[in-house]
Amino acid sequence: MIAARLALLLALQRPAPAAEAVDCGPTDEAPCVVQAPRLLPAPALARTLPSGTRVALLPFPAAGRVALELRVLPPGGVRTEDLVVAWLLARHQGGPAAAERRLARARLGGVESVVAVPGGFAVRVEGPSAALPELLALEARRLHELRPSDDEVARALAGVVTERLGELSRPDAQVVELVRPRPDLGAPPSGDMVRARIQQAWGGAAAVLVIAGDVDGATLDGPLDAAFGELPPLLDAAPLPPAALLPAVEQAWSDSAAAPRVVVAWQGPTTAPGSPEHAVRSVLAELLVAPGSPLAARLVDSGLATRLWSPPVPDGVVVAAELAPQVHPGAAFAAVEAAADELLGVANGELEARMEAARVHLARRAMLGLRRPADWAAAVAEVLAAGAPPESVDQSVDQLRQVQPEALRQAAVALLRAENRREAVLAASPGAGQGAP
Amino acid sequence: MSPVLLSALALGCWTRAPGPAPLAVAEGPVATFEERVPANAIDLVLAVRAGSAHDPSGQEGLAWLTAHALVQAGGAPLEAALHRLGTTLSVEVGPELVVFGLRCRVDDAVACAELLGATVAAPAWDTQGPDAGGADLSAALERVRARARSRLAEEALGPGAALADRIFDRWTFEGHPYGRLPGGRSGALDAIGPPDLVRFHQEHYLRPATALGVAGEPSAEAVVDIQAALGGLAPRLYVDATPRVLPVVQGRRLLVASAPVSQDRAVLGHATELAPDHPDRLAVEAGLGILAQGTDSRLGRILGPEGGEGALVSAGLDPAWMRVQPAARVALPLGAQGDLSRVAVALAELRRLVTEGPSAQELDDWRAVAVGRIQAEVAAPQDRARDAAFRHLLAAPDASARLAAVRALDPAAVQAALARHLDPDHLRIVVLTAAPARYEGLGVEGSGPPAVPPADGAPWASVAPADYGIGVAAVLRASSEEILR
Repeated sequence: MIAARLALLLALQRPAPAAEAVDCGPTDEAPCVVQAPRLLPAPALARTLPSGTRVALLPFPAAGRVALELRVLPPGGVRTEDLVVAWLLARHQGGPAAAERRLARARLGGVESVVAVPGGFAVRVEGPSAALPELLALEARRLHELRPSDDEVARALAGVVTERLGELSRPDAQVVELVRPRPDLGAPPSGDMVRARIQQAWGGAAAVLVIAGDVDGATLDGPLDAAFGELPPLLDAAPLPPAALLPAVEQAWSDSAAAPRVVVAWQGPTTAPGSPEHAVRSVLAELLVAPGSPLAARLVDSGLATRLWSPPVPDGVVVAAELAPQVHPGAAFAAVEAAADELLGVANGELEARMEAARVHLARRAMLGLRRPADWAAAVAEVLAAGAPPESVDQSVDQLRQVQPEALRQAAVALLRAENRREAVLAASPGAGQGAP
Repeated sequence: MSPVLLSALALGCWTRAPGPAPLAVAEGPVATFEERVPANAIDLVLAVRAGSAHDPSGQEGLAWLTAHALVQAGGAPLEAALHRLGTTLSVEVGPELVVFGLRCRVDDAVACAELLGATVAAPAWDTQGPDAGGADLSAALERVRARARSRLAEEALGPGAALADRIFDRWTFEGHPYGRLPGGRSGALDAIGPPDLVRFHQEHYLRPATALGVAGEPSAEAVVDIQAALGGLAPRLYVDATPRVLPVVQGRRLLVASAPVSQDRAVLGHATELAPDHPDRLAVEAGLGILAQGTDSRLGRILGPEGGEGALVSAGLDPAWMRVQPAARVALPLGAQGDLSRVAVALAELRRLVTEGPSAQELDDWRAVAVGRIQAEVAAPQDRARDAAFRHLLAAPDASARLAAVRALDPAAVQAALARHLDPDHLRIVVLTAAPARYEGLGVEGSGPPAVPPADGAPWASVAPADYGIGVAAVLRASSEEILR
């Protein structure tokens, strides 16, 4: 038994097969070529409603269940007013009939959540397929009739602040926030400002809607048009002024961060999911943090850090590490810098070998991340929100395969520059748990 | 309340409840539950009845360390193999169960099955020979111990809702195996050495205490391979760690726990004997849900207008897969003024529900939500496979039986079950706060405003110290770190 297990582990350690063999099993002896796996279980049907809402249907057998994702991307960027609106939606407030609709949704068997996504918010509902028309109507009316009173806005603001404080008790959730600008809660908007923002930025043209699972596209046109076809149009929304760059080194103190975290971010242009540029960035991030990478050797294998990971962001590459006790953040920053420099100097042959392992890992991880109808709905909503067609979900795997060393090197040279780099430390207190630099 | 006292109580009270011990066939393959559906991935869920309730006194955390050391001991070869497969081997440790999860492409099913089986049934530390506490296991233990220590340190600081629940668990199950929390105690971690892990694995990772859930369309070879690998588990009879005699609560006892949380929170309730297949279990769940599960519950409606905090109330029994002797609990945010008025309201509403039962409309609303939730819980094949493995180990009813029981409930049955199993006068109340001074001066049998909210919805007057007529029999104070140390 043990011998067989060791043999298996050794086999899995063999060097990655040649470039065209990216989809062979881990124990395959020889290179092979297979078709790229489809991530979507079926072709998606896409259309745009008169309100401007972009809709995609993804029908596949799902035991009578359906998932719905309504993603709203306020034009011009997320403001404090938008945080208030999302808070009201999450708690079914913001209008006289909100509570009745919440109860109606529950009676239909719908289970709902509202979450923040890049550039906006997503309302996620799962329920029985038979109740889909009613669930659609309920969700549309929530947006259509959202008219919070001044009191509701004041309570929501307090709730938003409490939630922000709550983030301080989740160090990992704070990590990415450290190196990205976020709405300033110090200037609370009035009720009038929030109501104006709803009209300005929460209309049909700001929304994408994806329905995945046991759904009959042919019978859904009527309910869709009735529910979402008449959402109010958007008013012009002035874009936010460009966010001021954060300081090159940010320090934050979190009572709950018993183990300090360090974050290094290289900020660059935003890339759309499914685009070649996005695939290059994904491979680049993976090369930095993969097990066995030079950075993992410097940080994790050497005992400086207990964890190393790369939170996905649309506008750059982020590396985060949780430090071992008594390790100074400066040592981790130096290790990250050295790893980035080392990557820029790797010869093409060596780079191709590393990329191959990264491509295989990313392609398989993408496929394995899709488990439930809600996962497919979220994946399609992400590409729709980026202005790409649903098929981009499948194309994302092809894009990964097509990343070439030269393109990766060019992207790395452009992104991994000192002027793009931001560093942050999250620790319990200044100097806490830190040894000598 | 010191850890030493808790440990002493644990030693004194850990006697088995009367009743037959579950019998299982020690020989034979590990029980396997397949959900065969067309899919390009397979999900493997391996559940072992080796959770923290099996920790010896003074070695709280042994179950957690053992489970994680199994994976850690695989070292770089296992890590590289998982990375290449594009997956991770997840480990969850609860009071009853340790659950290993692995999801792979269907083409990789054989490799994944062998990896999972070998990792759990034939740990890499075996390769160290008879001296099982060899260098590799020591190194693996040190790594998981460091992770456990930092995890415990962070959990002792928040987030508030989870922390309040952990403190409630620790206190409510004082002297019971469930008092050993899944993450262990930082003060006990250093008392655990490599031989303890080896012994724990040999004693608790047993064939009849293990169940496998498989979802997808794995090849026959994959299923055979994992069964062969799991054949390495010892074929000895499992001796159950629970049920055990539950701690007795006399009167209402209050624990003010301090931690740097952003909002004060209270959890109140007590342990119950409501086993997963107990006929009253769903009725009590219904009653607690109607009382305080979310915005549309009785407490939710009371708190809702004051700031949308109705969504922050919760109530229920621990899930069957978590504890076969569940705690009944109500959790709620406390007002910004830091008083116990909301606890008084919660207790008054609990008493009213236990005495009068729910209305037919309340029960209908709860039923609609419960049916949707149960259906959602088993909608996905991997959830059904997981559910089947858990049910096998814990003798819990399946989803269809639960649905039938939900549909058969009536208000009188709910009231009768609540009266049989919930006691509003004898329970524990945890208050978690960043400002314990707010609750200073609270005395035994203190007096305060009556436990009825103002009719106009206005906030309670801040009259501290006062217990709003709760009538606590004892008040304890400690920091979260002291309680969980």
